[in-house]
Amino acid sequence: MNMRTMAALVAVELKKLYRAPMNLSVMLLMPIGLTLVFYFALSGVSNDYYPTPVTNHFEYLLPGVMGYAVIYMGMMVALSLSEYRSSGLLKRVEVTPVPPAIYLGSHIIANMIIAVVQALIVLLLAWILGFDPQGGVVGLLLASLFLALLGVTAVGLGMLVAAVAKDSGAASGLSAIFIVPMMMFGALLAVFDETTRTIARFMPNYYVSESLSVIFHTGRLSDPIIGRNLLILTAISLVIVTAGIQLFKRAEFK
Amino acid sequence: MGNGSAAQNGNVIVIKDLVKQFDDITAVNGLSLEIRKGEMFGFLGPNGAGKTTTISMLCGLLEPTRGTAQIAGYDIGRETQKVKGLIGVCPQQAAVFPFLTGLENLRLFGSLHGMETPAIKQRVETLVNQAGFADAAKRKTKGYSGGMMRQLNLMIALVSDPEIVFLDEPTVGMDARARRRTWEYIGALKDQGKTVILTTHYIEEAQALSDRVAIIDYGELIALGTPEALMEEHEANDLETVFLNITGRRIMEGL
Ligand SMILES: Nc1ncnc2c1ncn2[C@@H]1O[C@H](COP(=O)(O)OP(=O)(O)O)[C@@H](O)[C@H]1O
Ligand SMILES: [Mg+2]
Repeated sequence: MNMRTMAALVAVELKKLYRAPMNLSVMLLMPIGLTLVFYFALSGVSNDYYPTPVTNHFEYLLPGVMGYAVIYMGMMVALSLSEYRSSGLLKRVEVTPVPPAIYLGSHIIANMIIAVVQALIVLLLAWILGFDPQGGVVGLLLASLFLALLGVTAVGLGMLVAAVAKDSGAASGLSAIFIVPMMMFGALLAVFDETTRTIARFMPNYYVSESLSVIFHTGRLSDPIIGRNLLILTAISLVIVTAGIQLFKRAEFK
Repeated sequence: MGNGSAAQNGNVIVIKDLVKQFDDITAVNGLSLEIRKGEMFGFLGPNGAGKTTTISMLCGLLEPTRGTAQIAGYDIGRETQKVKGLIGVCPQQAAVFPFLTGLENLRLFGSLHGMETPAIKQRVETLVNQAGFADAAKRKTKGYSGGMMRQLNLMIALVSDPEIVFLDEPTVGMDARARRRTWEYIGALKDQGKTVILTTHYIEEAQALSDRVAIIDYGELIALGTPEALMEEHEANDLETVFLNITGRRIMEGL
């Protein structure tokens, strides 16, 4: 029963996206707008001092921008869970025999899929604009795995925020607390020396930025950094998503 | 039905000394009650009396501060999933997925109750046709009127064809005609052998529909019995006067 129920709930979350034109346009515009802004601002800036084989600053930051498109979904999840709660829908689902882990799990899966698609839209647009990603199909799959794990982390953070926030206004404000530092440091925007890189290492998306740089900029898929980062990110995502589920459940049933 | 139902003398719900404390408010204060199988049980009391809080504890949404309750022999705390599989709940706040149609909402909740697809199809068709809701059900619920929303809310509670149904203020905010139609619909549930727990602050509703009523005030049970017996005992013509006799206030006062 649980797998079928989970599939039905995932379908509902995806339907929400294409049934509400507003949601769909936000989802498409965000990665497209983000990519274009970075492209026009930074593709003319040469990259002389960063240790990657790319020539302009847009390409250097591209992996971070892809990760940012994923992180952003954390806020979407926090908002949607707060809305479900204030409309009473959450309670309605909770009086059915579906275990909380199943409907929260469906939220994780649906939003993880959306997050990866968003990041791939960024990559696709960058490719149209002239970026030449290395690593081939295997590299793309490996990158998608990193993005999916980051998606799970982002959804977990969204659940933590929704557990604490009283309404969707508070949820969007609180989301900034994790989104802004992750964008500044994890996405390498403000990483320019050892101190800022040390701060960045506390951001889950740093491990995505770093790995995707290796994959897309060098194509060295067997680089030990990739395996190490995959382990680190898996651990982070498990811890955060477990904490998110537990805290959200506790806030709901008190 | 559940494991201990035979031992409970036909009582499908047994509540013992239930308490719910929110910070400084005691919403439910030592409630004990037994509800019989097949009974239409009215849960009457002014706004804020603790009706919704009691229902929420019974259907596993809130953890009681103290006390226990069994539904069909299953403990509401330890066997919550089992309880949830047996009951249908129509919450006070009508909540449906706005971007889905009425039909899609009904089918989704059917599958959340673990029903198989053909069974869902059949049950949803029956419900929708009975309620004269077939056309409306094809539209997205976002455009529904308040009355249509409440009607769908009620149908969702019944989609799994539950033995035990909790209806929390099912007619609140309806006009007189819609209310009467809903009463008929609720009355028919009793003929299907279901146990119905109906909370309301509309006196006439409780009086007209219920086999027995419990009147609660400040989280405490202040009267229990058939509407006729309570009126006779208090030499009253309606339950409002019964409430007035006991508390010195009117039920609808100060809302
Ligand atoms: N989650 C909550 N936190 C704090 N107080 C609550 C909560 N839910 C209900 N209450 C309070 O408990 C009392 C009973 O509320 P409720 O059960 O909704 O009454 P009724 O359904 O009879 O109108 C009210 O005083 C209400 O303000
Ligand atoms: Mg209420």
